[in-house]
Amino acid sequence: MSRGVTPSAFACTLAVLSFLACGGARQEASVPAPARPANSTSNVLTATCRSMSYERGTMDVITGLSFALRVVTFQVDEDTEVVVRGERGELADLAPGKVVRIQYRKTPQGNQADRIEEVLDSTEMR
Amino acid sequence: MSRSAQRVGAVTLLAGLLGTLGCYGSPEAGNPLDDLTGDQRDRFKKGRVGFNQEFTPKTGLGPLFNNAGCASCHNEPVPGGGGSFTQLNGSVLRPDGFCDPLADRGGPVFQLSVTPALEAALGIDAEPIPPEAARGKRTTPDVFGFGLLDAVPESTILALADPDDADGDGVSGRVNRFFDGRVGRFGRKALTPTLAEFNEGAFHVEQGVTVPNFIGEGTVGGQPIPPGVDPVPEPEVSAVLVAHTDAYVRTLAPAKPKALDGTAKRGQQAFSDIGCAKCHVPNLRTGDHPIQALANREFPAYTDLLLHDMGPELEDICQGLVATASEFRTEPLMAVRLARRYLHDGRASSIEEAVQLHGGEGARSRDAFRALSGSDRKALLKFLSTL
Repeated sequence: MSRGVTPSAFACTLAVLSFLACGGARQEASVPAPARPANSTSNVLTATCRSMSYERGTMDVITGLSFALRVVTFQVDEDTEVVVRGERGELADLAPGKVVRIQYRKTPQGNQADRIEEVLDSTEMR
Repeated sequence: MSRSAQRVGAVTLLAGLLGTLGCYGSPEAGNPLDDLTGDQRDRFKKGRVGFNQEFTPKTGLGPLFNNAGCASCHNEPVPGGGGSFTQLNGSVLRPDGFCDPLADRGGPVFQLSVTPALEAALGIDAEPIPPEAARGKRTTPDVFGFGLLDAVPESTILALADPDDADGDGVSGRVNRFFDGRVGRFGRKALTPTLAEFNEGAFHVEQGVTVPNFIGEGTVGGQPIPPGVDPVPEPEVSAVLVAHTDAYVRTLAPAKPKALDGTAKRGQQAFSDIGCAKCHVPNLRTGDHPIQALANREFPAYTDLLLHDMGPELEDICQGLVATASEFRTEPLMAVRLARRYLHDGRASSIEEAVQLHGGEGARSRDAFRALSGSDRKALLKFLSTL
């Protein structure tokens, strides 16, 4: 969560986004292919979730080359598909420190995340 | 030839030999691996030029940097060796347990020098480190034999791990992971997965020279570099130079251990008996590799490439996805006899002092070392001085 977001605003935004992302109910079935149009080039980045700003609709991840690191920001919205352990998840599942594979497109507004899949969680990092 | 002329000739020859040693330092390190092909030796030689190159602001140095070239730090007793330069790392362990490497503010390595242009623009002489950051100093390691460490299969490292201490020997050992989840092995906390990344990343982090696989200068404390401060087009170093430098480091031979006399053999046994070898695993074996000299070779690594808790006395910063402040990767003891300072931050001035400072998982072995007889302790230290 970014600084400056009040708990009530955060909870409200989270509830709305979760509802939109999950169609009102968490689905346990396997995840279908992304619904985004396939007319733009898709890129993939595997990185660590650093923070999520529900207010701005962005997720920051950490990536880099050895000790040369940078933060990359992705736009997330109700159409961003979240997959956790092979099942549909929610943006709220993507806690800082989790390793995620992000399928995204470059748009004039920035990097638009189409699909975010958790590939490693803390229990696997021991 | 007159006797005086012969004497002058002998003195000249001796001076030449000494001069050669003076120029190239110890002949026991700094050489390429045996069994390289002609082409691989050629790349080693070209890479040595890159390793020894010093950058200037006009050739891409900075605007933030630690030193002007690889060998500016890695130079004792020869290029590729350790050195006296100490780097500054920082990170913040957040309340939610996430180890923030402060990538948005220039971390985790905070450079200690700036170019004159940046100093003129911002009035700083080093990269500012956030006040809330925990700090960790890192000495310059030697890179002898790093190609062999890189060629050890990941499965070997994972097989050595014992995160829950299932065998109950008081020593666990776990892998660190990079930000994409891969197993790390290079760096004092095993952050970096491969030698290629370790080498290429060092151009960026240590010299401020942008590389093909990581375009873009960093920031100064999270703020963009002021316009005009670094006009060199990116990348500031070519893929060819990066590849040659990588080839040099990759094929740099480990220092060959010295022959063991009776005392050192006794010390070798003590090293094993008191448990040092549980982490400083004497031999590792490489897997298949396109460079034959690195393929399927057993070599005296004296590391397991795993993280171990070294106790509160040594702790400094968390790093990567796993390493806590008190966890450090087992330091390879290849060429430890050539080092002048010991432990990750150089706080120990002798091998014995380094042993005495082991805590955490190393405490049991440290105590066993203290309990050795004087002659056995000397024997163990003599053994270490052969590595």
